[in-house]
Amino acid sequence: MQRAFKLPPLFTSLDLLLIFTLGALTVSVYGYRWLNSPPVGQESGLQVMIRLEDEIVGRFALDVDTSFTVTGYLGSVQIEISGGSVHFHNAPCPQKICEKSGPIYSRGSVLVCAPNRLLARIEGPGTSGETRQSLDSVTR
Amino acid sequence: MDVSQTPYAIRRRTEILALVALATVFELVLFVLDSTIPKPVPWIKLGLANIITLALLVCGGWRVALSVHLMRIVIGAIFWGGLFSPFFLLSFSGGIVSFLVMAQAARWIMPALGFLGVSILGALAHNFTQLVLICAALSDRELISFLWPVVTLFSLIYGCFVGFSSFHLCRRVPVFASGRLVSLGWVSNGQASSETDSRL
Repeated sequence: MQRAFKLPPLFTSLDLLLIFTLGALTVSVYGYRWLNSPPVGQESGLQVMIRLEDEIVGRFALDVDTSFTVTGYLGSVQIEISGGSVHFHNAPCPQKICEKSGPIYSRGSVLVCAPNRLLARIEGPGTSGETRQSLDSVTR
Repeated sequence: MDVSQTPYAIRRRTEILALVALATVFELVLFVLDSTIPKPVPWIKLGLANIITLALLVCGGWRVALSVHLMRIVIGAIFWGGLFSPFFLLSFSGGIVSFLVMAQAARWIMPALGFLGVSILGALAHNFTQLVLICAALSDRELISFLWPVVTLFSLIYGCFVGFSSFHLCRRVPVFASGRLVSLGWVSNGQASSETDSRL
């Protein structure tokens, strides 16, 4: 069959270069983080910072089990801190990505409920002020 | 005689119409399938519908590909995600940027860069656009620096899969492989469309 149209190749050396550089970059960043992270549970003083769009609405210590409700733009979501991890519960968003992101427990990880503009991040000790066991304001 | 009414022109228009309609349907099916399969990272989708978008870009030209892509996003949002919700804005922006990136890559870099590369670039563009928009909406700077490795890694993996599938789609499905579609828009690898016209 005579073909006037030649299909481009599946991959070329440029492709492999792209894949390799991005892969190496990602792996090195992960390796760096893994090497520099303290073992789970041994870093004390971690706090959970809850933020609604621009303002921080609460800070909690990660090692104290508690559960509370925060109301965002879309509705209210239950945040549970238990066993050194944080997770969202009963989220009002349609896709429930924040719930599926599962419990987080290491410093720097976040849980985001995007339509609610809600963010929960685990931060190191002494980031600002003291940890409180209450919410500053449950807004909207 | 009006050029657009020749039997050739009519047949070609009908062909394009049928192709765009079918391609949109297939993309929608893939889009829905995409949303239902479980993934390790919940908010990064596989982008299966882009298999067809990429195949159309390479084999059929950017006009057909853009029509199918846009219609898939809009119809998918009408039936499966809020049409006027923030999700729609997010996925629409991601879709537009990823299409732009893939179209430009397919046009200028293509024979030097294979299917995998174009697909990976599209996936990266889509996912990073979404990440940046979410960070902007949440007014958060550290989110990007925390999440970009995950996004890059999964864009690579899913992009490879989509590029691989798209390549084999183009190879085996006769409507793409025969090159009949090549004259529909600009041609990705610089071949003149007059070569194929004579076969009709």
